[in-house]
Amino acid sequence: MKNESLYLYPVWLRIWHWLNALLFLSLIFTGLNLQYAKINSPIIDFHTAILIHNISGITLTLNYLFFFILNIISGNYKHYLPKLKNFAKNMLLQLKFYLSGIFKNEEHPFETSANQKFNPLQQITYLNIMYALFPLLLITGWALLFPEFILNKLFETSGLLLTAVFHTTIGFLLSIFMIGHIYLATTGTTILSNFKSMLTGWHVHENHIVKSQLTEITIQQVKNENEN
Amino acid sequence: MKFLITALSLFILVSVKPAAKQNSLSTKDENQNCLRCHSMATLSYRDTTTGIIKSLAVSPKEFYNSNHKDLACIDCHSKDFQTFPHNAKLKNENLYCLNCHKDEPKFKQFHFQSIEKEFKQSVHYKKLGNKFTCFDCHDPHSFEIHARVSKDIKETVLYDNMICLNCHENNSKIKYLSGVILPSLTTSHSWLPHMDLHWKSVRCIDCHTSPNAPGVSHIILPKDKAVKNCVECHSRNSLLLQTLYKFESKQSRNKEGFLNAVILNNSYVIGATRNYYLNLLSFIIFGLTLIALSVHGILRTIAKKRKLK
Repeated sequence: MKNESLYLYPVWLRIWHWLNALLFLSLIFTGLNLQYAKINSPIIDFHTAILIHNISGITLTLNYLFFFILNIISGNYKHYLPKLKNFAKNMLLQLKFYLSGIFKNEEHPFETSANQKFNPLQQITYLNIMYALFPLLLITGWALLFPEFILNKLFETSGLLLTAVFHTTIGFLLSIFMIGHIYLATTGTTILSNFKSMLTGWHVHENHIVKSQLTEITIQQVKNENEN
Repeated sequence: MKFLITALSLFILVSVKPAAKQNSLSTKDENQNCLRCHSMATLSYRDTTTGIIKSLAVSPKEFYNSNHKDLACIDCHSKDFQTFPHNAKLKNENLYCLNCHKDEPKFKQFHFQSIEKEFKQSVHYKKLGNKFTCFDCHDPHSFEIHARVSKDIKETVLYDNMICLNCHENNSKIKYLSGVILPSLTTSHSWLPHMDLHWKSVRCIDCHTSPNAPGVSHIILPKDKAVKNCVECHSRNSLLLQTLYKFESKQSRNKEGFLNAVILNNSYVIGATRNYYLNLLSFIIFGLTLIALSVHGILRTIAKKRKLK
């Protein structure tokens, strides 16, 4: 089976991805506890929540830098750049698949390959997430870590207030992305196949499974015929 | 005749207008007699028993911006001060704010009687007794009310904190009053995250008083009873709503919680600043995402089962 699979996710990428996921969960949990802090919180106290949020945020920044550099060195960044030719058309095709084709058991319109890991919708989303929202989240997070240096006033409003609201909003949007991301990961060959791929590095192609299943069926049929 | 009427009218105008002006100037003029000497910034004397230099100076600029700006010096001080050199006995003059402030109906909103009781429960009174008076914090020659009228909370914070810092940043005054030397404020507050930012954003009394007072609380607490639990301020029902933001429009605190108060004051408090509309929007987006994905998942599963059949 391995021979029919594609090795798409190298070790560094998998380490970054899962550490990113873990840190993000920790940041969502502690962030919510800070935003909705209350006296005698039965879950986690304010001081601990701040400590974990800060440590996770700093580690997330280092992890992002690790991703940023290795993504360039390895050439993996190319997968994030959408092909401009038929860009809108391709995106709509993918969207149409998620909104209708998937219910008719149609095949994924863009086959995952070593040259194109992401479909057009993934490309545009991941590009924005990783190179726009993520840096903004980290920058505002670091600003809140050193609030003394935040501009006192910006457009007649407290710089601290704007930074905090901005940070929370981006954090929220990325959390929503995370939910969508986890859900769409279940739309692989089997519900768990994409999760397995991200653990092993090997992407199992749907057609290969079908082919191998067919081969097994054919072999079985030949065996049966021979027996008869 | 016409000339006479015009002349008479002019005379009335000229004589009435300056008379009104003269009346309003009279307090100032009267005070000018005192301020001729007392406006000198260096006017002071050395207390022979304690050796402490006591200032006798009054800044006219501060006085005429203060809440007492319409008063004449001798409204509070003895009329005998009008003779110079002053009688040595006048040195023992004993003034007390509540002599004026207790029964006047216009001061009712300030709850002076309650303040008197609260003050007796404060750590200052408990430790120093009658050695500590209203004047140790509130200089009647420059006092302004701030929290009730201020549009800029940061200005209020600075003004009110300077009252505490006048003594607490200057250990010689504390030593003179109590005989002890306290640790520096940065040492005693080293546990406080972003110490400087806190000091610029909240008043000392917001943590160091008991909030159970009808007006501005005067129950100054000892340090072991001061607020140290972050969540008391950093939560929806922030303590700051009973202290620093007490006089903000109550309407702004209804369902929006801290929102409007925050916009008015341009401040941000983690855990307390909750934008009602952004919160609502986030719940809606979160809910819709879950519903959409659940419906999608169910339909997808049904389609897959059909295919297998």
